[in-house]
Amino acid sequence: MRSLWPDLLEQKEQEKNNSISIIREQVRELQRITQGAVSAVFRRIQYQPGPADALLEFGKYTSQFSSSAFKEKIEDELAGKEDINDLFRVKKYKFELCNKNYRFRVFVLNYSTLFPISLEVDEGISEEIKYRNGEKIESNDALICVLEEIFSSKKVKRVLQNMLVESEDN
Amino acid sequence: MRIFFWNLKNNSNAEWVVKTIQENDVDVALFAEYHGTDFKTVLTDLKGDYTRHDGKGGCDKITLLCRRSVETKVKVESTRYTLYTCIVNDVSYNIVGLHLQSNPRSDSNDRKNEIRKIVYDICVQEKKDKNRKTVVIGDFNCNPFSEEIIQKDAFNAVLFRRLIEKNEYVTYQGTRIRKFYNPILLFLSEEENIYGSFYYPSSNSAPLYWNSFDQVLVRKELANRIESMNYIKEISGRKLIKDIAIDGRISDHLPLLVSIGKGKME
Repeated sequence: MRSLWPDLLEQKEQEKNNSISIIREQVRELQRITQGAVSAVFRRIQYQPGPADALLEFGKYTSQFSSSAFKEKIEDELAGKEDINDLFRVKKYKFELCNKNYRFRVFVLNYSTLFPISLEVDEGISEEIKYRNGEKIESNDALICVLEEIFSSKKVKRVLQNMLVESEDN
Repeated sequence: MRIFFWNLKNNSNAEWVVKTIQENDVDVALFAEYHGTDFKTVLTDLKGDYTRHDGKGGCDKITLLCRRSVETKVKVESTRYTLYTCIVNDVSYNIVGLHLQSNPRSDSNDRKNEIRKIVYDICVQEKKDKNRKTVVIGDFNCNPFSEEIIQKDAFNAVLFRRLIEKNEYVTYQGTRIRKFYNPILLFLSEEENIYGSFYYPSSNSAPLYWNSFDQVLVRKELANRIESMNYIKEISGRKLIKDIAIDGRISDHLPLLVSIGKGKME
């Protein structure tokens, strides 16, 4: 029988997903241009055990099968090895503008190791820039374009300006 | 605390807003679809007794007025909701004012997605300030028995106080989730003609006619402190209901007034 496997050496190299470092760079950039008056927080939305935090990972309920009730039996030869599927699971990262008293969630990044990724942008911003939430982003350049549109939107500028005014007042 | 919510239908309602606040001795008032109303006039006519908290531009669906004595801070904004902290008569509350998406442009799943974000922000705030005197008030665009209100991974609200008093949590898929209490059934009344806040004789096969889109939810800490909840039907002698339906010339929603007592602890 002929081999059903593709020619692995011929495979085109996939673009490396640099979305996290791109966004982290923008966090530092905001800190620089506002001289620390406004911060951006970019962090994984983590599930923390404990009753008050039961819904801290609001996206986890989208999968009915993420529950511990559906644990897979691991064979001996696979035990202790890293499950590469974890790399492809979507992880949520929030991007928020904040100061001491206030925060505004600009978007949530649905991140996976390989493209495509997607954003869930604040409704007002997504309407303004005509970005359809969940729309696939296929490359680092495409992400940079969307981020630029988000950061240049009237709504983000208004929020940032008001936060800057507040910090000057204090 | 006397807390008030009204969807103003984008009409020019400054006069009615002022009269309602004064007649009902309101401490904290939240409004949706308020852009047709001149709030500068409202504040002037309230003789400087109230201040407005409009946030930083992150939410244009909700605005809040409160007595000058109420210390208010805008903590979190999103398009559909704002989370405030308000200190009223020495008691600190987390107050969420919201206006959720309406049908037919959106559906139950869109609202539930938004609700999960709201509940996330509430949990963060409650944990940060170690305060669970939380009130969620607004136009939910769904009824008290809807999935958005009842479902465990949405608002997880129960309609009977004993259910939250007996157990504050429910376990869902291995996770304990804190409940809300929705007091609406205590106050809907044929006798008092309190049918709901929004009249819609839909042409579909199961019209509800009266909907209770405007609701309030509270955590266990406040469940037994709700003294009254009422849809206001008359302002300064002007009836808001004409025959059986709402007189839409002022708004298509009735205002919601809730009185929450301080309780024995304070």
